[in-house]
Amino acid sequence: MTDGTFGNIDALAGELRALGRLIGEAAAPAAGAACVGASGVLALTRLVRGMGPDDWFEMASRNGLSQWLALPVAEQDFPLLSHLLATLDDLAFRTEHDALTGLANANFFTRRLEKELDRVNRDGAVLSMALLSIDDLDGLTGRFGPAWAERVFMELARTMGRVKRPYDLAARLGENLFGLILPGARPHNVCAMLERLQAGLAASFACSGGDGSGNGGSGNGDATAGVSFCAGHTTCVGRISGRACDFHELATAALTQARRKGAGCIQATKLPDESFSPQATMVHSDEKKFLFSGI
Amino acid sequence: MDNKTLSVAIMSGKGGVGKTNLALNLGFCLFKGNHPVVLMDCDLGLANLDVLLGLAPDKNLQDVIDHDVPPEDILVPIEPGGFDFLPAASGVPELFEMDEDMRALLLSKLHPVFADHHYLFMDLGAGINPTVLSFASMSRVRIIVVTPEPTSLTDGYALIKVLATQRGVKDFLVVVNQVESKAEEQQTFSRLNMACEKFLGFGLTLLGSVRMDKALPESVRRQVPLMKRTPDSPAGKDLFALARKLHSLRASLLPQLAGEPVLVNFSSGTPD
Ligand SMILES: Nc1ncnc2c1ncn2[C@@H]1O[C@H](COP(=O)(O)OP(=O)(O)O)[C@@H](O)[C@H]1O
Ligand SMILES: [Mg+2]
Repeated sequence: MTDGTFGNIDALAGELRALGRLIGEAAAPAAGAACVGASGVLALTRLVRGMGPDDWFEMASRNGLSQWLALPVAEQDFPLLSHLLATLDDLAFRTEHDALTGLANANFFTRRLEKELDRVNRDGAVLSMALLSIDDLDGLTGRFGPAWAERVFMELARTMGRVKRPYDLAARLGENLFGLILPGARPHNVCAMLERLQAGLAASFACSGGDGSGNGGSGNGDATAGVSFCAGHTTCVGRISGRACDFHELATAALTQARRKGAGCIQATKLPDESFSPQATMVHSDEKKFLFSGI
Repeated sequence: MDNKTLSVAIMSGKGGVGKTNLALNLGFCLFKGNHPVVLMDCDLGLANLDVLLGLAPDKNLQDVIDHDVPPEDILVPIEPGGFDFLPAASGVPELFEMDEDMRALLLSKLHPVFADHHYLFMDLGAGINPTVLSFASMSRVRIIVVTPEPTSLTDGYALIKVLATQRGVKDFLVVVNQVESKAEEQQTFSRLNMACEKFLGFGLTLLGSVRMDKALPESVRRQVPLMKRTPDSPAGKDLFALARKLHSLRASLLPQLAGEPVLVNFSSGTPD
């Protein structure tokens, strides 16, 4: 590897050798071995960025990791390794997150949805999901440019982060498609949350003078003051027959319906689970009449 | 070892219809007939069996759940020689609903206590909540207590309907409490029974009735079981007759019970 990012592969190898020597010296008294790799002693290394020895001691005592050897290394002595590590962290983050907004991405969203549905099947818990998209994006982007759309997405992501509960998941699933997984939320909870989100989004544009970044605006205040989204949501309780894709489909159908109705609409779909509707167990009026009168 | 314990859930849609008194007094009769009996207060949030007995146990089922207290330590003898009681906590909000795993864990801990007795009476709380539904569907026999009041009848029917449609439970014994006459017993039972036949597709079994009797509130005030204080009162005679029927029910079920757990696991939870 001789690309500009990590420099010469030999330089990187040099840093690794230096690290190996350091580990060998540190491990020798503890393990009674002369160097790494000899006499059946194996050192497993992982570089952890942004953590000092004190942090480690605390974490090790809390989690029973005291048999691990921690070796402080100065970042400036291993510039290439540090850079490589940062890049790996970044890649790991990017495989699960949307680059623009920092929200979870579609892959991550689907995996989490599967997990939550498993939980619902197991415990009979309640689970909701919502999909939303910004209204009239094309028309407004046409008038105010693509940068405007990005600002709206970022503001929406920030507002989602503020309005959701810590254990909800907010994700960006497509260019103009956002999703929420809301464990334990029933339709009225979802509705209330989406309304708060709607209000929060409108307010953040209103108070920043039409510019989501809050840095003075760029003359499109009138257009952005009316930012809204349509949302569709669905809820299941207990066993549901389908999988994540079916659940997703129901929310999509709700979103389509909401968009047909007009800007700012929130729509719930018919619930996939029969047991959510109490019809089956409810005592109806003919049954009551019979109990009272015998006819 | 073969199971000998008959589990009996005592339940009602509406509160205050006489479940706790029924559990206590049936238990007392059967104990006097030489059968060890354990009463379990399954109204985990609003216990009151202890109140009827004038007891104030310092440990309860909540301690078994929360603090791993062995069940023998919470078992309170009502009468020496095998009439025992498992108290529940009072003032635990319904928010603290046990989940399935927790319930299974609790019941497996309690099993040795159950196995030591011939009858396990579970005094369930009123209403339709997950705890009531699971205990009711796990017990071998269910007694649904109603009074001739229309509210009690509809609430009892609602509970039967939920258990039938959601858990597939279709066998219920009915006790009509606080009746003024035999005719009232018959009318109340047949309303409920016919509604079940007509709308749910199965019938109920009448275990019997207990007359309205001021000896009952009197025994509650004195915190002594009616069957101990005034067994010859009208309600006492009725309760004795009910106990005899349960006694022969257990005798006839014994061969089957041997091959079953004390609490049957109706774990499916799906409508059928
Ligand atoms: N057969 C009866 N005759 C008169 N009063 C009764 C009878 N059965 C129950 N009661 C009264 O109803 C009250 C409630 O009974 P209880 O057993 O505590 O009901 P539950 O457990 O269903 O809430 C008792 O205090 C008692 O005075
Ligand atoms: Mg009671």
